[in-house]
Amino acid sequence: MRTSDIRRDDPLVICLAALVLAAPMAACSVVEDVLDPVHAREVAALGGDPSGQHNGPTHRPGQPCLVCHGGLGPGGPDLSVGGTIYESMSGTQALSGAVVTLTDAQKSVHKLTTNRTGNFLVDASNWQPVYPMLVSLSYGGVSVDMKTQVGRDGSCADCHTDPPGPASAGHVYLVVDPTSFPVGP
Amino acid sequence: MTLPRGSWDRPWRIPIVALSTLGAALLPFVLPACASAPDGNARVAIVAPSAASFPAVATFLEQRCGTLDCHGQVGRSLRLYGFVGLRLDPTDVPGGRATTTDEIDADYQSVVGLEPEILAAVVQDGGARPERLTLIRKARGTEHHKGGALITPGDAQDRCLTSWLAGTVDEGACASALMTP
Repeated sequence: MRTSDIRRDDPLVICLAALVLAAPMAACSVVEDVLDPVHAREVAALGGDPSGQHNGPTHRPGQPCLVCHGGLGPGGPDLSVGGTIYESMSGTQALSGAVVTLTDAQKSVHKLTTNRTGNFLVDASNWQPVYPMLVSLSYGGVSVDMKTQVGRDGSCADCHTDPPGPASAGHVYLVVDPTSFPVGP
Repeated sequence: MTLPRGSWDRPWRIPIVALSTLGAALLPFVLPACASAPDGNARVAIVAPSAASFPAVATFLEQRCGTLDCHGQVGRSLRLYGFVGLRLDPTDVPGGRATTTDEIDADYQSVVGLEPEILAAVVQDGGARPERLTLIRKARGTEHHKGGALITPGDAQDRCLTSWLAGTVDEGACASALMTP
């Protein structure tokens, strides 16, 4: 085809021009939707899953669930509350079968049981707490209340990170001393 | 010969423009040389509500606003320390020992340092129109606040804060505020 043969109103030319224009615009849109740079950094900071679990309710124990499941992606479903419970303050053994009781500011109560990696999660479509929220744990006849209220963050691990320090109480646990851990649920 | 109209038909303008441009470019370097050296010992007095009566307010603020997921974070302009959240002493942990006097002092400095000029005006006006302060507007939710509207004008929490700004802390209101979920 000679240059002189190309007509501006040729349907092929119009289609090609549309593609050339649309491709970068679509790419920009995808980048903006997926890569909010602040959020992208938070997701990237999580790194790989050290537990080796497949994606699902048991994966990434001890990590802040709502980074990926808080509505900005990339994980699904969206959660309103999520965390991991451990047996003791000094140990790293996850506590399976513990009952987590969440009570919001309007006295709405939501109870969950931790799974085999100690995780519990609340699907955002099922329950949205009105903050502040109180949290308590029970297992094997032992019950403990969180000393403070949760102000607004549904990810336990945003505040409960290891090691304990002036800005973190450490991971969430049932008993301080592992020897006082109850025999069974 | 006929020159086009414009600056080129008035050649004397060119050096003036060039000199003016040079002068403007040098101005930022010349002006500081004329300024006197700042007084490193200068202090500005802050008119602020009483520090002595702040502990009752601090206890309320700490519980209501100072959790680790809210203002118990070092990156916050309103940074609150205490038992429920961020600790001042690096050997303390949240939920550990009770709030210390140093933490209450740090909370006081944080609150009065938010908007010192406006705070001074509110205090000098006997606590009138406290909504001039961002602290009050955000807590009441009349200005965007990620934590939402936490207090209602006239409720115990509001009275605890505004009475302190007015000069006499309503201790009863501050105690009642602690009961607010």
